Amino acid sequence: MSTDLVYDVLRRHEPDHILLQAARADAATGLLDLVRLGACWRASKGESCIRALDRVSPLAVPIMLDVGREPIHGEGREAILAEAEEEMIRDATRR
Amino acid sequence: MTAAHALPEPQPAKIIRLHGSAFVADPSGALYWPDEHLLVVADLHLEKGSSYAKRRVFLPPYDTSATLAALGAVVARLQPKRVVTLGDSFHDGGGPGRLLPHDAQALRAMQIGRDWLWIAGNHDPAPHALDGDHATHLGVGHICFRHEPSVSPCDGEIAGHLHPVARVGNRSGAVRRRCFLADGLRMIMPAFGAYAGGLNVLDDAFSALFGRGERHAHLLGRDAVYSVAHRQCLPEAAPWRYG
Repeated sequence: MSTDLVYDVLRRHEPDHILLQAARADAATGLLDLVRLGACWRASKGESCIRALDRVSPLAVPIMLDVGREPIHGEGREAILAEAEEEMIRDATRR
Repeated sequence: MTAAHALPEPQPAKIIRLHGSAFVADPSGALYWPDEHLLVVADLHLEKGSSYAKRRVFLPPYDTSATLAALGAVVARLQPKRVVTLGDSFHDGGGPGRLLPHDAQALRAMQIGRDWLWIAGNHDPAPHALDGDHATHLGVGHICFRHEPSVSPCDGEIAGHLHPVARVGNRSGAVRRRCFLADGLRMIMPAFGAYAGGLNVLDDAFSALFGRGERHAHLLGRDAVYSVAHRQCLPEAAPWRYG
C-alpha cells in the first residue's frame, strides 16, 4: 500500500479528513516553520530594503543552487514522458 | 505562467504488436484488441480497502468505486463485445460479497450486453457468484491471456500480476507511472485498481521473464501512452518499496 494512493483518494472523497489535516499541519512545521517565518516577516515590516544586486549575494547562494530543482507538475510531467518517447524513436531510427 | 497553455494535440492511439496482432494500449491502463472487440484489464484488486479493514488496517473505503468508475468509463468509450479481467479482480475471496449495493449495480450495468470473463488470480482463485464466466486462462488465436506470466510462453501471452511501473526522466525531473511492458511476444499489463501498488520494471522479477531481449515500457500519461526503451528506465528514487 503506498501513501500517495491513499492521499489521492482521500483528497478526492474527504478533503477535510483528519489524516489530511495532520499532513497539512506537518507540512507547515516540518520543512518550513510557516508561523515563525510569518512572524519574522511581520517584524521586519517597514525595515526591509529591496535592491537589485549586480551579483549573487552570499546568503542567496543556497537559493540559487536550488533553481531548476523544483518539482514540476501537470504539463511538465507529460512533457518529460513525450521527450523520453522522442528519444526512443530517435535511437530506434538511427540504427 | 503568462500565456495560457495551448490545448494538446489529439494523440494517436498507441498500438502494441504482439505475435502478429495489433492491440491498443489505453491511457487508463486497459488494453483493447480491435479485431476481437475485446477489452482486457488486469489486477483490479476490488475491495482491497475493505480487505485491510477486516484486519484492522483502515484505509479510505473508496477504492472499489474509483476503480469501477474508471472501468465503466473505458467500457462506455470503447464499447467492447467482450471484457476479460486478468485475475486479482478482487483482493480476496470474500470481496464479491462485500461489494456495496451501488458498486454491484455499477458492475452489472457495464456487463449488460457483453461477454464478461473473470480469469482467476492468486488473490481470487475460486469462482464467485457475480455475473460472468470464469476460467484460469483464455486462448484467442495465438494469444494466451492469464494472470501470472508463464516462464517460457511458446505463443503470445498477455498477463498481469506484477503491476509494472517505470520511472523515466532527465535532469529537470523524473516521472513514475504504471506501464505496459512488452517485447514482441509477451506483455505484462499495468494494474488497473486504484489501490494496487507497483513494481519497478528494473526488478529481477521482470528480467527473469524477458531475459536480455529488447523490450519497451509503455507508460500511462494523462491523455496518451508513451513508449520508451527498457534502457531508458530509471531505478526507484526513494529507499522504500511501493506496493
